[in-house]
Amino acid sequence: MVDAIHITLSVGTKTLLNGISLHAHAGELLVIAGPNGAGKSTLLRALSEKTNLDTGCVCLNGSDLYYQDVKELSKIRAVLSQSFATGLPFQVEEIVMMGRYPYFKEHPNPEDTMIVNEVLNAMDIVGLAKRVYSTLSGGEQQRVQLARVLAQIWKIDKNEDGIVKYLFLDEPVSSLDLYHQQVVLQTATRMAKAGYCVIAVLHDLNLISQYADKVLLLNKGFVEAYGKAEEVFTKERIKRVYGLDIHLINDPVSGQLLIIPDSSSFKMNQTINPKYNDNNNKSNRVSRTLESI
Amino acid sequence: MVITSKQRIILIALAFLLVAFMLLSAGNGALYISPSQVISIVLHKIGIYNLVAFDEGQYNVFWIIRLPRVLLGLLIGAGLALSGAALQGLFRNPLADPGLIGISAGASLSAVLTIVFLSTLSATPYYYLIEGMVGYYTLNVVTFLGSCLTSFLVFKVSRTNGKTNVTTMLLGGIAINALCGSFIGLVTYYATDAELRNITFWSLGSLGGASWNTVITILPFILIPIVLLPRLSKALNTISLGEKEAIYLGVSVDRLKIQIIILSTMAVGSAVAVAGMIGFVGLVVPHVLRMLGGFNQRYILIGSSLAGALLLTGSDLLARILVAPAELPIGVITALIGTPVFAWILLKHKKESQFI
Repeated sequence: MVDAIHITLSVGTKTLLNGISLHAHAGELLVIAGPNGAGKSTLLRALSEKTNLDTGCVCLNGSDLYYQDVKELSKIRAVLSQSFATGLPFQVEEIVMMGRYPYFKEHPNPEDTMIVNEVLNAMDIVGLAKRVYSTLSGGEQQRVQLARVLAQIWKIDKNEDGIVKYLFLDEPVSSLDLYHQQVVLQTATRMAKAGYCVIAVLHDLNLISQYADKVLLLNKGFVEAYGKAEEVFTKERIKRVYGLDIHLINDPVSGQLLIIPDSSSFKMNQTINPKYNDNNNKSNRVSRTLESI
Repeated sequence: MVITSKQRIILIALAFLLVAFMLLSAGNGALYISPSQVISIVLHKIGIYNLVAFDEGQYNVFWIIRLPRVLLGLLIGAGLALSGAALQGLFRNPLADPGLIGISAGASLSAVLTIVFLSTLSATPYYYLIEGMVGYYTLNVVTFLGSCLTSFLVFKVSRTNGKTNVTTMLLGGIAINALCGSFIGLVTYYATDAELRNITFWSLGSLGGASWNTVITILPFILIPIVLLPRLSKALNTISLGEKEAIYLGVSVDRLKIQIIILSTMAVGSAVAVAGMIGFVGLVVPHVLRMLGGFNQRYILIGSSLAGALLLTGSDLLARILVAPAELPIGVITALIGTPVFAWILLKHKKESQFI
């Protein structure tokens, strides 16, 4: 279980997260949604790694995340970051095997090799195993990174132990085609069903309504709404948060809620855009430039 | 991480070449000792006699002059290339080399200061006081301390809130390099002709000071990094994914940075202290290995030790025989034979080498 209790996080004078509380349970797929700069990635980071919060705390498995050992944590929690390295001249297989590093000293165990094969299969990249990562397309690279992240907490025997494992995905389908979006989210759902606690940041509201067990809608660092997709996505709320008129319809075949932006009434919304453009970008830009070198 | 069969072949080939060059280097010079004589001299020492005949002179030259020199070259080459590889991995920057974080700058400045200071002091009785304290090795000791001091300074500058920022560290290294450079300029301006000559030769590097004493002294400083750095190769592999990803994979990134900086300062500081500035090795050897066999850090680190040792053993051999009985500065040779090899590999692997 992930419990966040009233977490507030600010960088400089800018408050990125404002008193957010949430509970994510094992066995469910929780999706964090919201416009650009709402604090989704920041929240995901605060939930998944040691962070200097202003107030509040995050508990994983009932104990404070801040004091947990990174080594122990790496065996129960895996994170896919939004931006990933692109120029690595490693073989795909080698990169995916890095997900198993916490489990062996110098030589991978047979189990590790087996898991690598399973996740390559799950992400539909078996054919790329021997390719050099830097020569792959963006979508393929994203699936390789996903495979690495999955390998880190993959269980061969579904009920091997009672420990809940955590999967954090920051925009896992951002560069994937229609088919592979489904591949990835099906895998995420299957893992949630198998007892993992899965938290993902997604932008596509239709994918969210198709797959999310629970949705947390963020806006400017506040929780706007929390609940099932049908409860969270209302015309008024979407208008307020995204500044966009939408149609809500139910898919005649599956009955799933569909969110369609109304392009005929679209106009640039001056009151919302400039604000969130300023929000995160400054602080993020600085830390990104520093990281990138 | 598993070393692939191609990487294993490269490592074995390097090891064989290294042994061959050690035999050649130990045999060549003013007094020739054939490779088979070299082997039988070594075997004689451990109690196996009468393989190939050799005389007393050869025996002494080998044990007192040649072997320490070969071993010194081996250690220094391995240390320089290994730290270069580890720093490039840590900084995720192909241009990182021991000079970049201030190790060499501190060594140069303290060496230049020592050379000038000692020769100025030699006219006074204080000289014998210092000589009595650290003796013949003053220059080596001061140089080592100087390199430790600057790399510590750069490291200190880059730390905020208990975390080391790699970019600040690179920028700090550049600043320290510039500062030390200007001081060196200032000191050389006031130096006499004799001192200038000493400074120039020191900055070109030499294994001329080799003796069993120097070998034994720097042995631990280079052997410890050779043993410990490859153990960090898994962590260094994950660093290439990004620092955050490495943390997610359970690597204590900050501890890793400290370990690598201490180990490389040990190796480079002691190498520069006994042999002066030998450039090129730390920067280029890891690249050659990457282009030949891939990015796995375990292979890169082990391979760099071997290839660095090989490059320096070979260079030293050339430095001694090219203008015999005189001797060329080894720093000149490493670049002279290293660059064509590097250029050749670079051209051959043009396609795969976009990362340079």
